[in-house]
Amino acid sequence: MIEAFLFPVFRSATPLMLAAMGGLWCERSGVTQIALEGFMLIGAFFGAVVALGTGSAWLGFAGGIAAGMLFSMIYGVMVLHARANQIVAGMAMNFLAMGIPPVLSAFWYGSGGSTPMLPESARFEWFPIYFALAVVVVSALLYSKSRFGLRMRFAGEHPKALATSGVSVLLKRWQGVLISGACAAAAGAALSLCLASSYSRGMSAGRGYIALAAVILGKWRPVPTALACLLFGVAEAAQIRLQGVILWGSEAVPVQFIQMLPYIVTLVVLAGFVGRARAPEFLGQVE
Amino acid sequence: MESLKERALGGGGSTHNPVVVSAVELKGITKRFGAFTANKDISLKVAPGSLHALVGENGAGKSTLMNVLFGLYEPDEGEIFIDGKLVQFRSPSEAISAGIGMVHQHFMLAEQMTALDNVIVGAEPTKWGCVVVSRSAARTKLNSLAEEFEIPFQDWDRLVCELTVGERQRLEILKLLFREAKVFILDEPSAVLTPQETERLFVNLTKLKERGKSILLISHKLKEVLEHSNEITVIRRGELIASVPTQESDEEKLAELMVGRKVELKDLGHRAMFANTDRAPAIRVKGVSGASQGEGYQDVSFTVMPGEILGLAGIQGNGTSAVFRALASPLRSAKTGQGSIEMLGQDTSRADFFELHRIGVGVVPEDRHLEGLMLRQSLVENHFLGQQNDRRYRSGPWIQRFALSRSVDKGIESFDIRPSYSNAVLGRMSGGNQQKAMLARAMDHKPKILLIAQPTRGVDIGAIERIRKAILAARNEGSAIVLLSTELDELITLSDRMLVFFRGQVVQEFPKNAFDEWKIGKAMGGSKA
Amino acid sequence: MILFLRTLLGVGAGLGAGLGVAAYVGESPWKVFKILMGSSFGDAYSLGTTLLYAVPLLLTGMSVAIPFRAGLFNIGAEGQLTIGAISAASVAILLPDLSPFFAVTVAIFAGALGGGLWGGFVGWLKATRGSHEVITSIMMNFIAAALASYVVLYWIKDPTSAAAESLTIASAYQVAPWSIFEGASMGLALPICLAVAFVLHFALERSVFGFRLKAVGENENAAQYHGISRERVWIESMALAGALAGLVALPEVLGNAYKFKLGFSPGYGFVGIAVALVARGKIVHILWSALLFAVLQKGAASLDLETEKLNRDIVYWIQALIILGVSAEVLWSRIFEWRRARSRRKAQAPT
Repeated sequence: MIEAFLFPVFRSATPLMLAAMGGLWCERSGVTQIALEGFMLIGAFFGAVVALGTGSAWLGFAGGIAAGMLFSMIYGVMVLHARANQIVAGMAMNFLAMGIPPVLSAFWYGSGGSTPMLPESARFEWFPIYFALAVVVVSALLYSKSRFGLRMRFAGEHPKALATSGVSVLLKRWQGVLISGACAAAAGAALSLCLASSYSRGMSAGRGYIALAAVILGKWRPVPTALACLLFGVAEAAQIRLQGVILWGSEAVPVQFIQMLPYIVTLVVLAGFVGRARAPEFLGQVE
Repeated sequence: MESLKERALGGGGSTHNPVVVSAVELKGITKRFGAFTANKDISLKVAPGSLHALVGENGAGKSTLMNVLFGLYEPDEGEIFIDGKLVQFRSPSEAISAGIGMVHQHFMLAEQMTALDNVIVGAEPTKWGCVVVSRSAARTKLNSLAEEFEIPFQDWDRLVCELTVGERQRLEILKLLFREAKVFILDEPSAVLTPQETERLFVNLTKLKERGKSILLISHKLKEVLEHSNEITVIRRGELIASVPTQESDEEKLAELMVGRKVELKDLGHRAMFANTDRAPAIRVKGVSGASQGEGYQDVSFTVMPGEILGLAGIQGNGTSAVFRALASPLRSAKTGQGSIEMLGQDTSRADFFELHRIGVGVVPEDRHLEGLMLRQSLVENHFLGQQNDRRYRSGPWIQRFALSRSVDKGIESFDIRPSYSNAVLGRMSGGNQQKAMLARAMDHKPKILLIAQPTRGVDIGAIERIRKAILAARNEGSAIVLLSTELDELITLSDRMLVFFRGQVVQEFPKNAFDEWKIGKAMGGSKA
Repeated sequence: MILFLRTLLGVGAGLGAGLGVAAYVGESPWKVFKILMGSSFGDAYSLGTTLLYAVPLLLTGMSVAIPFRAGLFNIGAEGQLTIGAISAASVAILLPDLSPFFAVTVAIFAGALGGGLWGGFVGWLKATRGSHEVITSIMMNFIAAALASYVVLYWIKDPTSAAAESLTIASAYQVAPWSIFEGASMGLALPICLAVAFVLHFALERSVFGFRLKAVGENENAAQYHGISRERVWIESMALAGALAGLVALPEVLGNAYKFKLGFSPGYGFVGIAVALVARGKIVHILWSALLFAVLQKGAASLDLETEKLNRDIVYWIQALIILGVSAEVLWSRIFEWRRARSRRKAQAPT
């Protein structure tokens, strides 16, 4: 019974945890990150494409991550060098990510926005779940113990203090952006290679935004953020379990209300429990 | 003056011992920003183990010069020598590794990080191959440094936001010691300290000197410079005016060198008491307690008469700003208890800004960038801020732009705001002109009460004179004025009476004839004189 | 002028990059461009259909631009217009017996009210709970989509249709198209929405309300210090934004489909972000920027039909690239404002 419940929760929370860790490092370095959703789509699509082409889930996963990092570089150039508004540029990245898979899949597979089914051998059963947990543990250790974590936090809390100590803030922020690209793309690849069996249109379904909500709920700290992801994982697992279940009366709960569940949970949690969370002092400000 | 300059260039820096190599030598440094020359051909030498003061007005180019030395700017011309060796800094990290450290005027400390993390960041002792920070090693080293240089500090795990200003400054000095700096640059270190804390700072700096460190001190406070430095360099409009050994100089001479003409700052017109004690007080504050932005105050009472300037003195965080906000923006500062605030006979403890404006109160907020102005907007837009309900400028939902810009033109004229057109954008103006724009706005409706905070912070001397004269003129016309300033000199110059705050309470009241810098400073530090 | 040139260059760069992609997948960029233009302005019918896209974009563009003045980013226009449309459609179906003039007014009001409440809620959450408006409005978009789907399927479903769409609204609610558009469903909505834009232009530039928005957007602290309630401005601007998005019910439900169709919006709410950005938040500029994006939207449908290798999703690319091109502040300022930047640095440098 516990296994039957825990497994779906961890499965649902896996992409959230991965994307959230990416968002956490990016925002910690001082760069607002609302493009997680787009990075996920890119990772999911290219993960599936590479897995299809090579027949290997491992290469697919790596390919998805590489594509996500490349894609996040556009964002990095835009916000760190061209100084575009970070929210505006982030939304543009999400648009771009919505447009890339359908056009390319039409070009490559002649289909309108999804990839063909992946064979069993090119999919994962467990790996992304362990990978996500490992990323959380490593993030937590880096955050509190490492030189890397300390410097990343200063890049968001007081970039000038870091710069006058002789560390390049730009470098730290680039690392933040690239980590978010890699992690969110891994989250996307987990979606297409593990949770589902192909890339389908808009398959991230708002998980990138929910991951960002988890970062805020977790006050930009790795372990609380991961716990917040598990909470949202519960909501999502419950959503799947509740389909067609008769809760009261004689009719099933309308499917629409079940679909709303993760979003309502996010909204309630953000409004109810967080209050005014303190973001990194210099989040979103480029000197 | 010529002779001073000659001597400076010839023998400066070698006041102790002519054979010793200078710890720092700048040769012909020139730094331009576009068409503007911030530093022009500046040369100076700092002897090892000495305190070299750099004095000059706001905007004279002191900070630019130090930023060049610290590697934040690359000079367009000129050379830097450290211990006699030619160096070239492309970034602060290169300056740091050459042994140069800087305590900036705005501390470079992240408020939400611990004291320890703030000290070690960028120079972390590590284990396991540069991956893991060894905080215990850092702690050991820091404790021994604190002991060696007699700068006590234990609260390594506290967040910086919980530390006092003095503690933060000591932390910055320890940060430089931790990086093994040999040359310390301090930018206006005493600006935020009481006379007592300043004294303590110089004790610490003397300890550093004794142990062979060299210190470059930027300041505009001539008294402390004369008391503590070994040599003084004066900079005006980007040029080096003179370098003189301290014992051969005095305050009057320095002031003249700094400004380029005779200064009589303290003499600002008629000083007779104007306060009319027969009339009712314009402001009556009775037993008010509360807090705002983490700063509390308890049981504060005072009155201000028409034609009187009441000065609020106190170190940052001791309640003056919070009390000021309780007067100027009552709705935004939480009050507790039963106290009352009355202005011109009306209860204003729950008034909104427009109510204050209507009964005749003008406000100049403390921080012009944060609370005062919209920097990307024009004078007209900024003039309207806080006057939205003024009948002259509004009909129904619409703004009367014509009347508004006419009134802006009047303000420009009477305060000599530059650039002098009403569409000028505030962000492109100097601090002095921004401050004048705020004063023009506050005085636009001929208020009977003026609440003024930090009127001359970061403002050049010309504008300071004009602003102070305007404040005195308003008082002479019978306005009741509350003046908050962290510049003790300014309070002494302008106020008719002074209240000193410590830990949220009024510890002492000084009448005009009892103003004494040292006694007031002592009260600011918490002990009654 | 320089600002306008910069914007134009941004748009040009975005369009150019998008057409470059077309060339890559093997379609002639010139052909793509001709399809876009021809299908938009070829004849009165095409023009009318383009306006059918432009009017909702005008509304959502303003819906993004107005909170932007106050420093808020309204990503929720899509949800707000969905709620506005379903509210108007529900009223029109559940109250069929009103007189024509009254009916249309009531339906417009219902649409604006529904959208306004949906948007105002986001402002309220920010004001009272401190929740960031970007995330809450995205969540509200998902909730709106599900809620609309529930209402249309359970309450006002057309039982004869296989698609997820409502019954046809009563004839009193139907706004007839103008004959000059030769059959395109564009009529009264055009002047009404232009009038709204006209009023809002003056409200933003000349009224105390507009000043309050600007003050909060420019310097929240200074605004609050000087008696402006930041919270009230947040709620008001988001409610107004929601109401504007909700007005999309007028051209779409009352003027075009005469029913609520699930998924009727081709992302008007999101494209509104691009519209507002290209117009830099100025309502006069939103007029032409809405038209530009309408051409892209309209042309996208034709691309599906008239080319082999491109589908309508290429429009996402072009939109994204235009947004990136316009928002790359430094890139353009390096080119145009080099001298000005120099003097600005000069002003900041000394202390």
